[in-house]
Amino acid sequence: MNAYTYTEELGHYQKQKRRVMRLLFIHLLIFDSAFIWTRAGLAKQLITLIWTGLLIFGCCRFIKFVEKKHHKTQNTMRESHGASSLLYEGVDYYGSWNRTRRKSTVVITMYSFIFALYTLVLVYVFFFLYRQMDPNSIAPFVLTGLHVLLVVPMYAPFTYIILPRYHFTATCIIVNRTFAIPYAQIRKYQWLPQAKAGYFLDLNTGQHFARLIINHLDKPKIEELFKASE
Amino acid sequence: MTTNELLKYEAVNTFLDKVMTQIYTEDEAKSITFELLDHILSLTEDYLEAGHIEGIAVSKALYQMGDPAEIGFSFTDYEGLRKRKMLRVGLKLGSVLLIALTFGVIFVQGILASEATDVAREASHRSATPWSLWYLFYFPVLMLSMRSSFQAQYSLNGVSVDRLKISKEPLMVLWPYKKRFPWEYVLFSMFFMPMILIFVIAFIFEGGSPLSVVGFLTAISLSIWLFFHSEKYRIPKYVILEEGLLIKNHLVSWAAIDRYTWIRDYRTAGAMHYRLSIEHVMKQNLAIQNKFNGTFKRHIDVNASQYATLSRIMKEKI
Repeated sequence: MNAYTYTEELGHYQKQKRRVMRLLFIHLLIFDSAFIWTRAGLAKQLITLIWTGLLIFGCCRFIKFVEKKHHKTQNTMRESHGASSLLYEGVDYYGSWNRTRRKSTVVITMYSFIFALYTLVLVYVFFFLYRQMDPNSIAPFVLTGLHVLLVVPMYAPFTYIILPRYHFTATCIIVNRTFAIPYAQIRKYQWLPQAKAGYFLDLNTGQHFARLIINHLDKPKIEELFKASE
Repeated sequence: MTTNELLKYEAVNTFLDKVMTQIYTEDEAKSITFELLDHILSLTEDYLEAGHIEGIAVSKALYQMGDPAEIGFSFTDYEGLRKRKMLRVGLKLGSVLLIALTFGVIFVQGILASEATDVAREASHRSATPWSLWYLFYFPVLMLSMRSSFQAQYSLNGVSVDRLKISKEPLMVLWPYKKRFPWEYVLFSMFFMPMILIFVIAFIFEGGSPLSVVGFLTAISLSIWLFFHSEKYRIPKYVILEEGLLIKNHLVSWAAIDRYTWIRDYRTAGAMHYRLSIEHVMKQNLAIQNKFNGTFKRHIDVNASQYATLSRIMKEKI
């Protein structure tokens, strides 16, 4: 049973998000630097520096604009549920992590596809950009190695922030840090036992459907929460 | 006593219906019905000879037969199931390999046919090969990741049965039925014939071999047909369980279904059968940022002789 509040969870989430963004930014900087370096002549390098700089600046502004909206939603949630204790947690079935406090199990590897895509993009960048720098130099290998190394610390926080999570409090379910569903609004729910330990919980509120992975120890307690609200 | 007289008893019909819910095809069900009726009849006659009245003799005979669901379940042809699965998977793999082989042959022919007469042409061929290989991996991975993320939004997709611990004996197994040739799809594909013909004529005009065009079109058509035809060997396709509907080995829970409707299946050959349309309704709510608002639907083919039983089950569960 989780014994921390929603405010703490939100803080942890934002910390992981900033970490991922920082690492992504470093990736982009490495790629951009190599791209500028491959331009022939100082003038071309300067022009490339300016327009890639502007492009990156524009993207950052756009991300900040989108994040502003998210922050607004999260602040609203923090005001209404900040002090609530998060009793149990369910992760979306279509994510990839069935995590409890004690152990982690990879459930589905949708995120492996994302990382496979990333690997392919990296292969493309290596063959068609970095190799153009100087076929005999060690720089392309070093740069690609840097990219690969930067992915390693990014994997865990990335899957943490991208996975939709459902936090069970005493009165409601907080859906992916965006909105809350009181237990009384749940029209239908159904438990499906997994072949290995744990359950799938199908929740249907009429406006929202979710299939969550629930730890087998949390199942009876969540069932009690549902029955108490009936 | 005759089998017709036996069928006048509701208990006998109920017993047979329960057995039939476990049988995979209508033909098997019919042949098993005769077998079972014969067996019940001989047991009934034994009890009648022992001095029991007709009604009691029938009840005792049915009791002696045992649990009808278990009887039906015991008729499951596991060997047949395994062979059909192998055939289905084999046909699907075959179609994918055929497409890969066809494009592979074209790719290799393209490289061999264009002789490198100058350095630039040689260089372009060298760079084209890694590009093609890269795209060969990139697009399938992109498609798969997009498909996975779409599935996250689709409540009626279901959970793979391999991931679940579910009841072994189903409530009901839906029987497949014969469908007529889908003329509408053929007519639809005829719409694209002029475009294909133009490409074919242009290719031949440019010096291409007509035989290779015919070979290419035949290979692609055959592989597409194989891919869809393999689904015919998926028996059973739909199973009704205590936990929900098993559709092509994926379980859709009862909680995911908001409503259902019955429609006649116009694609049947001969007798009229039904299509059960299960729906999940996402109601628009401005307070909630839904990514998709609408109704998700899935269709299930239902044999006319199973309509009544399934209708009753659906009323109970939803």
